[in-house]
Amino acid sequence: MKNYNSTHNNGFEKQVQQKMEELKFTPSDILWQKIEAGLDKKNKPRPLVFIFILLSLILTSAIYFLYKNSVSRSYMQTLSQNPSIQIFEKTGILTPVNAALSTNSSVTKNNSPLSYFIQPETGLTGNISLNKQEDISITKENTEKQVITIPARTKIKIYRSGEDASIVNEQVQEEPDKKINIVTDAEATSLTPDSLFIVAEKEKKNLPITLKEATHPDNSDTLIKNRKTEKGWEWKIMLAPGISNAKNTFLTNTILNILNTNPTAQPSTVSGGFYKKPSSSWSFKAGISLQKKISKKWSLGIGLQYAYLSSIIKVGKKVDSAVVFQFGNMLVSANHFYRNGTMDAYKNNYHFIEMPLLLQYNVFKNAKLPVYIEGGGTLAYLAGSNALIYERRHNSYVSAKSTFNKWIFSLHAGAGIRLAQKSKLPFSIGYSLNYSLNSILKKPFNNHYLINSSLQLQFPFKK
Amino acid sequence: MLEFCSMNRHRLLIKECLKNNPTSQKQLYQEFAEVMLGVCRRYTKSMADAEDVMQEGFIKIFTQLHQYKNEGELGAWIRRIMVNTALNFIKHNARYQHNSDYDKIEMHPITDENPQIHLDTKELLSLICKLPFGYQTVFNLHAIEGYTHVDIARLLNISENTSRSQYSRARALMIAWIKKNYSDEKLQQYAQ
Repeated sequence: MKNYNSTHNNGFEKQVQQKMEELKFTPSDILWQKIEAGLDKKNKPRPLVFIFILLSLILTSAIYFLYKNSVSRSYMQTLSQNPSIQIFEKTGILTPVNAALSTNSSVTKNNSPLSYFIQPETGLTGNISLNKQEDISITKENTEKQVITIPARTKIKIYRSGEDASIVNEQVQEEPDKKINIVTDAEATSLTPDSLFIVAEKEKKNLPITLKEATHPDNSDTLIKNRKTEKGWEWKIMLAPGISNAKNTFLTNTILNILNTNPTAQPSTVSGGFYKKPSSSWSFKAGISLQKKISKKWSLGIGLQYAYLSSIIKVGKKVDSAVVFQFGNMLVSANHFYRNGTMDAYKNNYHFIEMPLLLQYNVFKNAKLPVYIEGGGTLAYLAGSNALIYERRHNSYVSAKSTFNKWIFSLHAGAGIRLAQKSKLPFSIGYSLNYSLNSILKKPFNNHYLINSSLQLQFPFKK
Repeated sequence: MLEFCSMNRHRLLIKECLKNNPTSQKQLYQEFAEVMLGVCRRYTKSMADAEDVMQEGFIKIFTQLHQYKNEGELGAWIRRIMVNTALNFIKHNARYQHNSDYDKIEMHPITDENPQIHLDTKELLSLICKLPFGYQTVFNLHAIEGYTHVDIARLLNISENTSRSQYSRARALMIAWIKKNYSDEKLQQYAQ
């Protein structure tokens, strides 16, 4: 105690001080457990804070990439400064060219120069669609202006003329190794050898457009890369049947256990929680997601889905009797409860509304089986549960919703392949794993981290 | 010598507690719990409240243990944290803001008397707990902890004059009750 300092005579105060120094009380047994639980809470890392920061960073990056790639700011880059057309393939005859075509100064949009670039999609051989919303006007260079407008979404073909090629009216005859005659509406136009031109097909009418004659630099097989075009949002329906369980150990401890090392963090040993470890049971998720390309290989997706998870525990006889249970500082009343035992299997059901935020990476985009991997986080709200909690004093199981955490953060990892991309019903199939970062049960109960492993089916459709 | 051994033992204990050794933490708790519960009980009106204060106090002690620089006794440092925790508890607890007790309590003239206290520890505690909230706190801080009225005014966010006035009245009440020599019945009414 501090030295007594007062203007009063300190006889009375000194007596009070001396008597109060002897004052002692024995604290209740549960008090240390409460202090321990409080320390565990403070010492454990706060995954929610880290997850929030991580999700904020992902969201900020996504918004930045999306803004950069917006339609009004799309632009093309060419490897060569030469405004002439780069030819991918040199042939002596008129053949479809899987070429990257640059029409830097010859493409105009509303009479202002616009760099525009067309690159064949995977699997296409010379067939290219213009996915622009506006019409593209192409003017011929070095001659009198011939403005041909290619309407939006027109399918075109690129041809490179060989010897004795000419443009014919309304018809393109494709005969390998033979001459092809193409005629304009007005009159037949002879084409000089090696000139490159586009034939646009719309409503079965050919719109021949002759561009500037191609020059043929030695490195004429140079491809124009770095195409950046705007892709719309892609909606997907997702279905994911699987299995789920509740684990006592945190994700890091689970990984460490798998690696056979000693985990540093121990789960809480405060009284309460499940008496026996639950076993796996089935799970199901269904929902929609919205995905947007943020670069050539990366996509960002956000979704909304319903998730059903379950696990199985063994309980004893059901007792239809009203009883009050105490969990720490909480009092829970119940109309019935289950004795501890292994007579019956009881399924703990959890119903969540989830919002996943995922980054997807296309590993082999141009392969026949495009493979992707994805990772991210899921924020889930516990909409309902019938799960039972073990109460030690009565050695029984009871339903106590107030002991659950309503908000659960999970880590998500998955991989899959896209199939039937050219068909009317493309889909992707894969595997996903979710592991919750915070326990479904509040303190001071033993931790229960929900884990879910599922087969994931996604059905995309364009917006 | 004994004091040196005790300090050394505490130093080792603190070192282990800083490593989050649960055994050492429990050991530290067990060494000081009974006395600290007494400290908390003096500031509160019930044992349940006292335990709540002590729970919060010990959590603060373990999380702020790195701030203890071995200047002064460990017990004194722990006590200071416990008193501050009790004051925070009183400040934020609506039950302790009610001032109607001041109207009900009989007023006694301020006195310089120093009567002999023949009550035991628990009986004296019951009288302290019988004081109105504000008086009880000021009495604890000045008479028992030894804080000056300047310090008390800063801690409780009141004026120095208020602190002096409340302490004088509390002292007068305590002396009046002691002199009246309360019966066991009345003491048990306020004791826990």
